[in-house]
Amino acid sequence: MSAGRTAPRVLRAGAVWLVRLVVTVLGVLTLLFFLLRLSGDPAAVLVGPGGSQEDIDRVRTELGLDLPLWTQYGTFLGDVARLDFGVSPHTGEPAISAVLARLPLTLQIVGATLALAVLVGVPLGMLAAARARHASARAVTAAASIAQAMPNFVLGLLLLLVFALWLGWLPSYGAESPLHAVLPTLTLAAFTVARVVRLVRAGLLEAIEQDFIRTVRAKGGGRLRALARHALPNAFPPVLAFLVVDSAYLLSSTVIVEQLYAYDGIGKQLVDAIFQRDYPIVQATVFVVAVLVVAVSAIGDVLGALVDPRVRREAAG
Amino acid sequence: MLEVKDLVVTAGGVRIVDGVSFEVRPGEVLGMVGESGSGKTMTMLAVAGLLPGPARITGGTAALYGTELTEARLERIRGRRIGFVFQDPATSLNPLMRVGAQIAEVLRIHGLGRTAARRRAVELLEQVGIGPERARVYPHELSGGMRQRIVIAMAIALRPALLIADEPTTALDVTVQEQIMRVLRAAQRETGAATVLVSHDLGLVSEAAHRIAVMYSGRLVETGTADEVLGAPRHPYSAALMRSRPRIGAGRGPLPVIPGHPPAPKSRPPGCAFHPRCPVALARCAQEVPPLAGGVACWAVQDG
Ligand SMILES: Nc1ncnc2c1ncn2[C@@H]1O[C@H](COP(=O)(O)OP(=O)(O)OP(=O)(O)O)[C@@H](O)[C@H]1O
Ligand code: SF4
Ligand SMILES: [Mg+2]
Repeated sequence: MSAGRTAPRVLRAGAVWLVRLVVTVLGVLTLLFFLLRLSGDPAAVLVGPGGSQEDIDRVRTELGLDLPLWTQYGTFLGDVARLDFGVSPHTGEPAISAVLARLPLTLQIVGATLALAVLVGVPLGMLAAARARHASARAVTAAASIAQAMPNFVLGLLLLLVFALWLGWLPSYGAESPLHAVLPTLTLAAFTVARVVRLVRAGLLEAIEQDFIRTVRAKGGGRLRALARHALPNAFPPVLAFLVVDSAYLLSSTVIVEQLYAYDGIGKQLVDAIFQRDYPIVQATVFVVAVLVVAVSAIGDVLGALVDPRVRREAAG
Repeated sequence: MLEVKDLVVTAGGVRIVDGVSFEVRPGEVLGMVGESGSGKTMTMLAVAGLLPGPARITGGTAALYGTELTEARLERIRGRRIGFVFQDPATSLNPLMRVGAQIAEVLRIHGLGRTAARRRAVELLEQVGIGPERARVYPHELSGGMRQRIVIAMAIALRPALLIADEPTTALDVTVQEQIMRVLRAAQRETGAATVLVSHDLGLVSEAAHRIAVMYSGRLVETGTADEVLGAPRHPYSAALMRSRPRIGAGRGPLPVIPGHPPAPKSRPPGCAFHPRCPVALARCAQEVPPLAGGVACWAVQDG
């Protein structure tokens, strides 16, 4: 409540966040390190089918793959601390720069999806709740059910067929212009927007039954004020919790969606890297995604506390 | 001056309020009593246009100073000409909004500027006995009694002509009840509002009310001054209700209770709804509904 306690509280939340970041990223990368080492010999792949045993051994020594696993792991951790994930054996580019170069394209479609969820999903959810018995509200709810049930590769193919092949309105593959982001975004966003519509609708229908809404009406507040100013913030926490979890899910969905539209974000890059056993790229991608996921959940915590004073108090301990 | 005439409220095809008429004069406190489910809350929610979803007004009128309280008019004057204090202060405030802002909101809705509203909200807090520094706290940081003071502050903010308090102390600790009643009565006297005080608690009503209305199964069965109804109730139900009231120094014997249960509105008996429980019921009581005449709705009183 008082300003004096705000600073230590923020510091403490920051420290908790940092620990979470380190534990998550380290855990994920460690798991990945051992999985990759167990899944085959990268040296043989790099050299190719025509290479001799000597070539393979040479590559192995160059990459340090002949050293004991624990030594390799130690070196790996040291490299991670310096954000050095090595050089892509295919392009010769540092892996982390290659991933960061592609990241904006992925953030573009994931960010646009989250923006649609808020700018389209929330108002539609409000409409569906405000006129629950009206035909328009029923149509919105029904459309949301369908969109939510559809796997995104099916939807992606459908959109591709209609808008790119039949109508020719939008490009079907590549990532050269913002227009190229439209179909991947729609494919990603369908589920998220639909879910937000349903969560907002359900949350509002529950909230408007509450006594404090009647109080607003007793004060002379109109239905719109009661809905938007009072019911909506109270319906917000489950929506926020969903969006935080969904962000991680969206990032992983880009693997499929970017592949489908040959959209050059980190999802497609990751799939290519896996097929080419490009460990540095795979590791750098996983690192970046893990950091993003932890960051999103930290942002979610901050927003949640901003909306609900009771959470703020709990967080302060 | 509130005048309610033949008010009928229907929910799911059942008349949960069945032809209620009463008046409250300026500065007067009307105590509305009756067992649980007798329709006290629904009557007053109907007057304020705040009925819950399934319930609708299907007959009668209510007028404030001669102007009929239509839905459209209520939308404009609720909060300004009519203030409402609800039963449960734990749930009647928005948990996500500072209490000062919730008081200021009623002023903002009715046209005050931001700073003026904020300043007046602080005054109102003081009027209900809360320090101005509490304007910035959230409801969960306040006790039940404090929250009810906030609700009272909102209800009287614009000096309403009609103040409705529905069981304002029922959800509170006994020790706090008296304080809240003091705050409420002071506010009532200060604003001069015509006031309806709904309560189970006859002790509380006898202290605060000038006149009393007794409800049974959605109908008004007796009205009169507090002295008349409490001291010499004429309707057999009112009489039974008064006898069942605990009195200081009245001996230790078990309290007399009215045998049987009040009927749910959908299984309300024909004729006088009280007749299955009435010790003095006549033959016609089961056939014809007694009209409210001379302040009593009872065949035995009217014929006798
Ligand atoms: N939301 C609702 N929808 C339909 N019927 C309702 C609703 N709320 C209450 N009722 C019915 O209306 C009748 C009157 O209820 P009301 O709440 O007015 O009684 P009350 O006299 O205020 O009782 P209490 O002393 O328990 O507050 C009850 O019999 C109940 O069955
Ligand atoms: S009308 Fe008849 S049943 Fe009803 S209270 Fe009077 S005597 Fe009793
Ligand atoms: Mg009630």
